[in-house]
Amino acid sequence: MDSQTNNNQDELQAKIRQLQEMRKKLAEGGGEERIKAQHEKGKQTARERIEKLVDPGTFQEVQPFMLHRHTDFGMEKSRFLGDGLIAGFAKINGRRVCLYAQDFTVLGGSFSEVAGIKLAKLMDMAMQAGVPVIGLSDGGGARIQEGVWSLWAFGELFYRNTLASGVIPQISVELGPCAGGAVYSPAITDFIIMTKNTSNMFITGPEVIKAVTGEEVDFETLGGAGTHSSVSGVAHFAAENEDHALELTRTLLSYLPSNNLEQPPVIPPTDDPFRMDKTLDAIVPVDPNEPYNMHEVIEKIFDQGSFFEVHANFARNAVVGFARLHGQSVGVVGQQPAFLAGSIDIDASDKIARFVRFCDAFNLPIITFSDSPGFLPGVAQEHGGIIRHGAKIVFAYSEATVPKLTVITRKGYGGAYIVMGSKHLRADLVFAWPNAEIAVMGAEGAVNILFRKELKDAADPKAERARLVAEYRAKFANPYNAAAGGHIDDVILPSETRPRLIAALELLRDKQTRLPAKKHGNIPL
Amino acid sequence: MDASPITQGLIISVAGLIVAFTSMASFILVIILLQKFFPPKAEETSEALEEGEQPIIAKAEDNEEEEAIVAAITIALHAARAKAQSKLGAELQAGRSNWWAANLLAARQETVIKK
Repeated sequence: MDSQTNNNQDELQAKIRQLQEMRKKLAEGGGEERIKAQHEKGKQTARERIEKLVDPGTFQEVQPFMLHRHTDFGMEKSRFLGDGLIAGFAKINGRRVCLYAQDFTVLGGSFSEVAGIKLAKLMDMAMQAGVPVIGLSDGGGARIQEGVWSLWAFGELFYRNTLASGVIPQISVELGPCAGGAVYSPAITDFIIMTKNTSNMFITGPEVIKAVTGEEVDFETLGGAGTHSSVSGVAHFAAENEDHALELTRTLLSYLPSNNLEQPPVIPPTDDPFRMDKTLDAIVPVDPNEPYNMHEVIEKIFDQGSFFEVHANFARNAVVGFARLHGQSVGVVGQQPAFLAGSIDIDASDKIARFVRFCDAFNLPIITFSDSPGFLPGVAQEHGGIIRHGAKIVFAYSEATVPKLTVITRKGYGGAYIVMGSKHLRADLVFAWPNAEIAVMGAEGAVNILFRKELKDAADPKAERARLVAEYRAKFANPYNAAAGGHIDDVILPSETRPRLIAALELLRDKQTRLPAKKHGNIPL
Repeated sequence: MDASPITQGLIISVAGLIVAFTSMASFILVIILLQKFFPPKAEETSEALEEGEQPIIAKAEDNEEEEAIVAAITIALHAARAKAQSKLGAELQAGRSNWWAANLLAARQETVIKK
């Protein structure tokens, strides 16, 4: 009897040892040499990244023992536990998330059939549980040796990315190469964070481009973090290094609800709701052609230090980002008079429209600071489709059912006034500062059109123009005309903006609006 | 000897009343006696003070500056409390109400039905 128990114990101990050995092997990824090579490139391993991203001790891996089944090109000799993709769930700032990381040390982080299976399970689980998904990408694209199976895997991921869009927040952290079809998964997700110098994204690499078009370009210029966060707008954030990228991810998550049915997170307020910064009263120059910095306005109104800018270097004539008002997460949209006079161009249209739609999908109230002389004129803009792109802003604001508050800080001219969260697109409350000018166009332009004949016939056209401009300004260069017609809800002191916005948010916290039943709208893409 | 039930009842009632009141009177007497023999301690203290022991009292003239500081702090506290009492933003902290949840549910059901 005793010997039998001992045998059982030995057998059990052996099995436990086997599991422990396998776990050890799992932690080694592609082996010590490859880990060393990864470190030499200034990159961390997938597991190191996960450990840094999540709350200590919260990561739970799923399907770690999966192996691929392929034998072509000697693949039967290259089997690694987990097959180069670590998937699981964890907590970040105490909140649940699902996450995956491509392990570059295993077959270059190539995306396999197994990776597709694991990710499909993870994404389904995340959608059912209503928690965000974070992807830490560092891989060479589809695994060529697996043929169509790796393409199938990507397809499964893209499909789920699409289904999950607007249901759970999806964040892609690009920490290495991401080329070819692989780029479409991060492209569908809500936010892309790229690390400078170590990550890149492109459909076709420099060599192919050189062969096809003759253009010579390096990886960083073609698809580096700098390029994508400022020129193409593909990336929302450019991180200095991996640690910074992971920190940005944690910060970003702190503003977002876990799913589309959850309310945005509220933190205990640290700033006085009644704080009225008197410097705001003097921030907008009297001369309408003189610029000021919208960032300063935002910093002074929202909870101190809470503004988290998205797309900071892309389409800088528009400012979008998350902030907190009395602890409540909100989306902030503004125009930047200090860059292109705050006019709306193609890139700014895309930036604003996408951000507004994200906020609407995840119940984040939208607070707009409108100061725009209009859409950017130019042949390049017209031929580039400013009409189509500008229409996206109209579509996004009109469709949004979350609380919409707008502050007109200075210029509200023509179409730009309408599209930037005006009352006509169903903003709930529109405030204007005392120096706001709401008109079809600026005084000079309007006088030239309205009084063309009078100016031609005048003895002193210059003096006559100045007189007419002054007359037009006196009539329209104030917010009271619009207020008299009910097109704005109140004229407020700039310093009053913070408490007024908090009170308005408080009123609208339970706002419910329903759009007409439809399959989906047809946004001008 | 054969008193009627009514008479018997009356006698018992009167006897009961006498016993009850006598007991109460005796309790009161005991309490009065106890108070006489063991007077309350507060009285002892005040008596002791009257006999010559001086209590420690802060000198008012030294506290003029402190009073000003206390007054300033009190005003600041009142101002802060007044602000807190207006509760600007309190609803945001409380989170969304049942109204939101109920309507959201209705909206979802509507969508499901339409599908």
